Amino acid sequence: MAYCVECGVKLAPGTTRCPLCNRKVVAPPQIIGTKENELFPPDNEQPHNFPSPRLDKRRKGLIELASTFIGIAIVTLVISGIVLKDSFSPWFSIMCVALGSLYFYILLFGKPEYVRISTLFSANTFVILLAIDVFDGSLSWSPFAAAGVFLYYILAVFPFHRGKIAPLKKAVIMICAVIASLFVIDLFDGKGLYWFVPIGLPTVVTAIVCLGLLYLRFHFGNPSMGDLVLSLILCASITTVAGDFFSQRLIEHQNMLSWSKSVAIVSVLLLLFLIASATVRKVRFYFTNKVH
Amino acid sequence: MNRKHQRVEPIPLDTSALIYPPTVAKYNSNVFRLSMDLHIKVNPYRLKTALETIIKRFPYFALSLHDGFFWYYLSENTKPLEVYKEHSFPCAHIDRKRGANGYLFKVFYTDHRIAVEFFHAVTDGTGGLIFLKSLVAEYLRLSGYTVKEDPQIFLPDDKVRNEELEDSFTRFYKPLKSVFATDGKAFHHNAVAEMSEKVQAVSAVIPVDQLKERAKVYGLTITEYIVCEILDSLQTLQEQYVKNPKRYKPIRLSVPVNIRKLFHSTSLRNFTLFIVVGIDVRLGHYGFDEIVKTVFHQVRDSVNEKTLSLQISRNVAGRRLPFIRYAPNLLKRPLMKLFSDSYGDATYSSVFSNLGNVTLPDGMKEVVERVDFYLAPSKVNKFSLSGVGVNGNVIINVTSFLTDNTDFERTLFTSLVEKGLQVEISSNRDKS
Repeated sequence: MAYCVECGVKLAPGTTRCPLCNRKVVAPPQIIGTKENELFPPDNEQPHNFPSPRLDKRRKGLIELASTFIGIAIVTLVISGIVLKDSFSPWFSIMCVALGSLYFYILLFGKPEYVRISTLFSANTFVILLAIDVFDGSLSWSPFAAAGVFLYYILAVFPFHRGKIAPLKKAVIMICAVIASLFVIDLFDGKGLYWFVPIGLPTVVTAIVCLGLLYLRFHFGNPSMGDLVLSLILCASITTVAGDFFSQRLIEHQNMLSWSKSVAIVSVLLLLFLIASATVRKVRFYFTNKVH
Repeated sequence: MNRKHQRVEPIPLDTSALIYPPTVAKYNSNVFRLSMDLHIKVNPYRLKTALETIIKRFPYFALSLHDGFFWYYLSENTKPLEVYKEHSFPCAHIDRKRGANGYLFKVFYTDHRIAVEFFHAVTDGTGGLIFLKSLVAEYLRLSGYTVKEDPQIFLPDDKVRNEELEDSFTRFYKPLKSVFATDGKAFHHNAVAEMSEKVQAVSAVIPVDQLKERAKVYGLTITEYIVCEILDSLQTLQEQYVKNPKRYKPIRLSVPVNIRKLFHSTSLRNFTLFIVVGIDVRLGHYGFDEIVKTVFHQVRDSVNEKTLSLQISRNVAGRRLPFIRYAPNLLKRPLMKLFSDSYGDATYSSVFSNLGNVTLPDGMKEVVERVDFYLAPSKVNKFSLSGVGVNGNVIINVTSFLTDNTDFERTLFTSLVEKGLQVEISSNRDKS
């Protein structure tokens, strides 16, 4: 029977590592001894798996509580429907309660992963919007909403997807998706293709150019996190101004910009600030870190 | 199976068992385990026969759990009983429908061990020990041994006394104006470590004479001395893990107390109360002598009939409150899950349950090598401690959900070694 030199405890016969500090026992086999009555049989000899709950107490409690309230709400709606007969149809409300509660279950049942939860949330939102529109009797506004949800998914969820798609391919897919969404929205708004070519496409191209320049700036330079945030704001501002500019051209207005003048001023100031800070940094670096 | 025992009508859960069924979840099995290691080889068929025979004497354990409209309740279960091959990790979840043919306990065996795991809603450690002793005695009788009489060994043909089935909390309830106070949050071991539902156990065997001698130095009982050591180790652990003393939290230990002797009860259902002893480390570091003084006074203040009566009245009064009593189980179940930690596990850092010295009659003590007692840990209190004395040794078992962190166990047992005690360690963590 051996002792652990680290912890000072006596070890059960046959123990070759101390269970407290995991230190290997260095002693002759006759001192270590052989395993007699083990505390528990080794894991691989386990004859059967016991079913065990998948959720912890808090999650299980929240799910049960939510289910109870959802159940009460549905029963109340059904009773109201029976009592009020033709004056109240409970099915639309029941559908909203059931689909709305899915958000809660998605959040509580699955692993808390951004991509997984956002994907399921997007899908559920799409189904809810479609169902509400169908209940109205015709598909009127849900294609626009669906395009919006799709756009959100492509821009906010897809880039974080852990797949084998290369970043460049991801970027191309995102750009194509944005263009396609704008195309669909313009196509379905009843006037045919009215603003997609004169406003939508040039604005998207402006955004791509801005982001391309930003990429080059970051690829060849060494900007700080503050620069990144400000540059992104600048890109968004320029794209906004571009959208306004092209819409003014479409209606052949005499002014170059209408509502985005202040945004344009912010863009110019941001650009000047970024150029100035980069120049100051370069000059400081030149005078302080010159190695000749 | 034709089991001729006293028929049990559906019975409500006892007062302290109410919390166990609704709070079962991942990392909350609410199971405890008792086992006896024998010198002789265990025959599973004979063990099953012994179980089928002895269960007639314990009809209040041959039950299954059901949802009622207001509360859970227990009803007779006549499905066949099984004995199971020992598994690697103690205190696993017992599924109330599929786990053990609907029974709320499981009997396990290895070549040299008989063990029983109970869902806590059925009974407490003392009830479980009486059942295990009776089962092992019956097994030995079937194997040709003569086991002498013992007050804790029930014979299959004995008459079942009604007192064994009673909810003693209701009998000793005094309608006092009880205070529903709760303590703030206590320190919990929040190591960034992997957690697994498979309960990791570290077992320490310490000679009782050495522990007694050590406890005598401070004028404490063995339980009080171990409590002091645990509090000291928890203090060290907090100092190790929480760098900013402003973030220290009080260290409290929940110690279940068997109150049957105090109240002259012979019930075999839950009749245990918890006393909470602790140190407030926000006031500064406690030396061991200071811990000893604090524990000494806290235990003696808490373990007396009057203080415990107040706890009984608080527990029973809570159950009798109309808005709790008549709320549907559908609503009570999730609320108990959500709030049980705030009033229970979150207020203390761990649990130490000492079953005391297990006496064995002639014919049994020659065969039984050691007795073990394990408590399931919980998600909040990631480790639990239990103690039992047998054959001149005290066996302290630490169960934990942390797969690769043994800082607490190491601090506790090395501290005992440093004080001159001989500690022999075995574990299911040992993968060698």
